[in-house]
Amino acid sequence: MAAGGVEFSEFVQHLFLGLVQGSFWVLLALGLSIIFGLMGIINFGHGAFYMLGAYVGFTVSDLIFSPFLGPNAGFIVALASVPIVMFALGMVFERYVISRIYNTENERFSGVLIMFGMSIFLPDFVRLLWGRPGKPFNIPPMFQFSLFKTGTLDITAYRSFTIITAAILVALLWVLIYKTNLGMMIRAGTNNNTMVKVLGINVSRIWRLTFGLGIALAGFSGVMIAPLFAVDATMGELILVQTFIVVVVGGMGSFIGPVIGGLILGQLWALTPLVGRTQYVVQNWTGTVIGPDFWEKASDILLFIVMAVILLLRPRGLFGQEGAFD
Amino acid sequence: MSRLDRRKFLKGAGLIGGIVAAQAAPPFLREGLGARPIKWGSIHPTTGPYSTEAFDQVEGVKIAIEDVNKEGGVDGREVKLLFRDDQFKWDQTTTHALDLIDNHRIDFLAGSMVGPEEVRLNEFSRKRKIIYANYPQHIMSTPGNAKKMSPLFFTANTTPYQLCASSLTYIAKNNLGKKIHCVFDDYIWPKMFIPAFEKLTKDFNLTWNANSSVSWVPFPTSMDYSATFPRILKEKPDVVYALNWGQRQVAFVKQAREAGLDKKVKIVLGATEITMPEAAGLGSYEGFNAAMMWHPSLASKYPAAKTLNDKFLARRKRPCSSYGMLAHDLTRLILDTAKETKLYKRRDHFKLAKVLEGKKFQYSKGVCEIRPCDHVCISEVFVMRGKSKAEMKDKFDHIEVIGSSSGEGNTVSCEAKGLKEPASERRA
Repeated sequence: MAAGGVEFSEFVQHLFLGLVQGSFWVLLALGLSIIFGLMGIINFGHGAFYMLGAYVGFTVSDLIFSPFLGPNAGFIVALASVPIVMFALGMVFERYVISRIYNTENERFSGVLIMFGMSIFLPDFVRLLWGRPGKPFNIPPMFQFSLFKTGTLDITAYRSFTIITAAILVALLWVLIYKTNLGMMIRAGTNNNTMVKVLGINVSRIWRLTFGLGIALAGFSGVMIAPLFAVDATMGELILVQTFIVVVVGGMGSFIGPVIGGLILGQLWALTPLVGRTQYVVQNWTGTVIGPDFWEKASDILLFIVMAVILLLRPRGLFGQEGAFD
Repeated sequence: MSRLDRRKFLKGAGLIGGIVAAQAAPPFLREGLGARPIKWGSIHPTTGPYSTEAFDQVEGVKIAIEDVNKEGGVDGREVKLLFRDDQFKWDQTTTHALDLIDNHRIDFLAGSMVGPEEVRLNEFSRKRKIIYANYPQHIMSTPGNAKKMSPLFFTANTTPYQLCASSLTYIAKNNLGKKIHCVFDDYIWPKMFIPAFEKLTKDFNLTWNANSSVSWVPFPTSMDYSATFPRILKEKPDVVYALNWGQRQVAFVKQAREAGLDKKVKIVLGATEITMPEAAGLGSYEGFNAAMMWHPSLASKYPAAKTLNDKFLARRKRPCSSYGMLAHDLTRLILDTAKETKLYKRRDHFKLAKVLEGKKFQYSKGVCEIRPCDHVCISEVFVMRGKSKAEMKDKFDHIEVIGSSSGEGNTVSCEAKGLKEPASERRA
């Protein structure tokens, strides 16, 4: 079956790739959004913590466990342990660094500066500790196979695993935030933390847990994404830009916003190159035919255009809280 | 004990004042008092995404300078390295170049990792009339830029055309297939390969078209190459030719393997470096071919390559990359030529450039020659294949050199660039 010159299987291939990309963005954007939602801190260091998670994952998997348990078990141990390590790191960081700026003048701006500083410090710290060349962290053998084919493209096990894992994680986070006492306190703290304090709830502890959770999500994303990309000290810099776009489009401080935003933008990113392969002729204002190369290059630019349009028409994003930036 | 009179006090104060003033004087005044060392001002981005390669460059320069000094220096003078880190920020490249040229009065300008740095240093070379030793793959001698190139610009590296010629020669000679599809990162370096592809695919009778045979990947934000795979698989090329670098190449290789692309088509990487298979993992480049400027395994063929690689292993605990080798060889070439001719002073740089033009040299690989019209280094370019995990002898042994090509036929001719006279004669 073909529509506009594009085979249906080709369309499905791009949908699948968009879903994978969207899942990565959802994982990263949720951590960013949770930290902002409760604490009002725009975490410019999120990409650096994501990178740190990948390096910790490499160390746990390839250096410590794989030599004894094999690469499959090594990867699973990394997947399970990195969020715990990063959660603890996040809590310690919040306790000894972030908490010092609470109730100070320009509290939010100080938070931005601290996290921006981390985005500069952490890559060089990682280079110092792990060395300058990138680290090998690959897909474990148990995921190195094709589930089925759609057209000419293999739907591979690892990419499918990332989609399923992201979906499970989103569901678990939803349960945590909307169905538990802790989640209730987090949400209450987001809306009115003075009132929560008056009710005798230890808000500092909740903030610490929330920051740890955000950093754990960043680290977990690092372990999940690294086998398909490169483990390098600079790996968090560029993905942070895309993650911010997802959060801005979805809505800062919202839970559902980054999920929907990530999935929509993932599809936009994957389906845009397909436009150039349809039989429809698209011309620019001079009458020149816009070729497939334009649409391939445009897939990233369109993300920025969508963000700009959203900021113009609905500055709080699709599902964001009104006044989140006030 | 004699009493300190006014005369003694003034003498002592004058002496101390003189010493302090001498220390505080500009470097050129201080050095004018003694044997002035020859200053090699080198700018490298040792902080930032290419720090591994930049550190290799610095090490290559250090080894070259140490060896020259051990052999008596240049005209009896010690060569001194003034190294600066521009942090991969172009404004810093300019700041450091100005400081090195104006305040430290360097005799030779060197360094750079990528095009924006190279363009800036080329301008300094052109305007301040100082020899510039360019270490990375250069863009100034490509056909579009050749006339803007400083007549004092020198390099030991290859051009995009040379790299492209070596890969396409290998593809054609080994009958890897007729139909080529390219995956290019969307920035200036891969774009410089397009004219080479247009000419060489015709010469080798390969099927390729600039409009329909190239998949462009947004740069630098997107590192996911998978969106290009459906198109590649639909078009069923025999060979996929990919141009990406650093962690982007590692990502491409991992994703191509994960999608099984390497089992369906032959994949040739336009260029690679030893750090990339290392970051991708053991055996990750198996089945891939790539072009390279140099590889440490050439130590078995060239004694000087072995000496250099052994020094690298001793100092950096890792083999020498082509960045280290190219920085080393070019530094040695310029300093050795300056030593032979005693033309090291800035006022003599055009005379030294004239001697360097057409000069043949051999350090860490086969004989190389600086072509007079555009200072392109006519040298060997190597083709490699990635080894399997079982074939690897140690953690650095990812690659085997399986061929090389060299000669002026691998470059755009001087006539095609519209260049007739030697570059040093194009002073204007």
